[in-house]
Amino acid sequence: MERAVFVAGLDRLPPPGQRYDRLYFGSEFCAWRLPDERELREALAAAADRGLRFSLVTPFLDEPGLTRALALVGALPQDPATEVVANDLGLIEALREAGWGGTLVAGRLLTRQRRGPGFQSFGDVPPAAAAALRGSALDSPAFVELLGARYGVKRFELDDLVQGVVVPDLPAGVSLSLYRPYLLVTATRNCPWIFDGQTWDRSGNCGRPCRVGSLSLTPVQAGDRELIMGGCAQFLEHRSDDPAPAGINRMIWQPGVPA
Amino acid sequence: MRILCPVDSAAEATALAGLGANELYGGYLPGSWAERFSLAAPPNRRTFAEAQIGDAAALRRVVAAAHAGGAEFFLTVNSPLFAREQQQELLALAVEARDAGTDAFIAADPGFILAVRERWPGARIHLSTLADAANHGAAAFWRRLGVERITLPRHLSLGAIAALVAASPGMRFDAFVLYGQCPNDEGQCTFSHDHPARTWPCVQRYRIEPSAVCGPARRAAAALDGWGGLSRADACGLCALWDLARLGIDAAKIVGRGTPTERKTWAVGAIADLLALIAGGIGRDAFRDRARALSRARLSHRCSPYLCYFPELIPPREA
Repeated sequence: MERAVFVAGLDRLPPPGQRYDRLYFGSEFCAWRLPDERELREALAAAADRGLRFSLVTPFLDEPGLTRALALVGALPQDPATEVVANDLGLIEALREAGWGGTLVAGRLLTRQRRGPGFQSFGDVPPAAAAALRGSALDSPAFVELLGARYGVKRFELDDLVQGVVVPDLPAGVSLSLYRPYLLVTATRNCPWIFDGQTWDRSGNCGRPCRVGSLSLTPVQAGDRELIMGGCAQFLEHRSDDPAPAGINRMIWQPGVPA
Repeated sequence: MRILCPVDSAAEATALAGLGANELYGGYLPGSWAERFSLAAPPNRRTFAEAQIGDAAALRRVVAAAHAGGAEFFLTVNSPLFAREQQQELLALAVEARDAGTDAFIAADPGFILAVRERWPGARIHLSTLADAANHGAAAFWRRLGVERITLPRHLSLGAIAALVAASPGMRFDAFVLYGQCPNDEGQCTFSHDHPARTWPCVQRYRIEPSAVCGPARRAAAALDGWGGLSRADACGLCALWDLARLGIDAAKIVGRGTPTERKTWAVGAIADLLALIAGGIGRDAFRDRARALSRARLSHRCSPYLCYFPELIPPREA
């Protein structure tokens, strides 16, 4: 089992000596939270110092965001062990169209699980529905085949759902990762951190004010679960010591919400 | 620009087509699907029965009424994923929809799209906003799968839409302009929408506490708190129609499967009137004033960033 640690900033790197094999670095939900090239070089150096392989985590992207992500990927070293974790199909398409031959991973946003708090109280839901709520886009063999055959994606990533994860049988050579303990429940482009008092400033000149911390969201409605907002994404904490489902060969640990 | 409106019944289809809706879209929940999976894992993104056409005969009547009125009918099958247990029911649903005369599927799951195009190579596919296609790479990816139109994510600014359209020649786009704005990016949101009072997790009330006591965190908490208890039903983007038409957006899309007919008929009439102004050559500023006046006369609020699809267009004095 490969052990990865996911952090969103240079100030959150794990201390040397911790038993990880790989560093996940970047952002899943905001192009402006991607590192710049200097930060990327520093993260690569820090990973090398700690003996860690490196994965650049990238978010869902609008057109300006795609331009930014493509430039950043271009600054990565040519090394099969260095990965890009893509959370936007457009980045995968654009990278391969441009002839980029590096290792691409389908991030957890592309596997489309049902992570929200409401999916955990099944009530009178029929058994087939309960089973379906544990599924993911990997339940479509055609999707896995498409990403593998056309785009060379051989690793897919999943969240550790509170209601349980069903991992389907996958073709030989396809690997799976599992994130713990934060599930990425939702994200917004109407980011509260860029609300200027009148509107959401979506002009693109973000000073990354969200780096100062997170927001905890405690539902007033009794019985619902607390969420944590980091950047423009909301996470649900689900700690589990259960063994990973069969087929998982990489565990990605998030010491805090990756924002 | 076409008008794309939700529909829940044959009578609505007749009325909406008569008012100028060129395209209608609806959801279909076969009884066998409801029995096995309930609305906890529906074939589309709506988890309440009013937003679902309930049997194949009703679906055929809706499609026939749309066609009789000169409108096309698109079936929304936009669950972002379908579990293995659902694949057989899903194919049966698609067969029934095709037999009923459905003109296109609105879908988000690549597996479903691939399956439809394999079985019916000429089948028309429109990409749901749930697929969150917001860049030219995504447009190219989905075009390879046979997608002919993309429903834009709700949160894109006019600038981001312009950049996407310019970088994606040959792709057609639809944009939401009325009702049902989401606080979160729908394509990335995995909240369930199953509260009996329809108080969804995105707008329920939270006690919001920053981890760090500082100005940016306090301001972010206050901004987020603005969604609490808010009804998103009357969200509006009408004043952007002039710009969207200029960008070549294919259809102005209305939100609201499962809502009263009167809301839909007003929306179609209002958009038809505004599109007529554009066709008549009205200038942008005058158009925005007319659109805002129309919106204010009908909807329950002044322009607000929480209820606006294109908040960058809100005049500073009103924001």
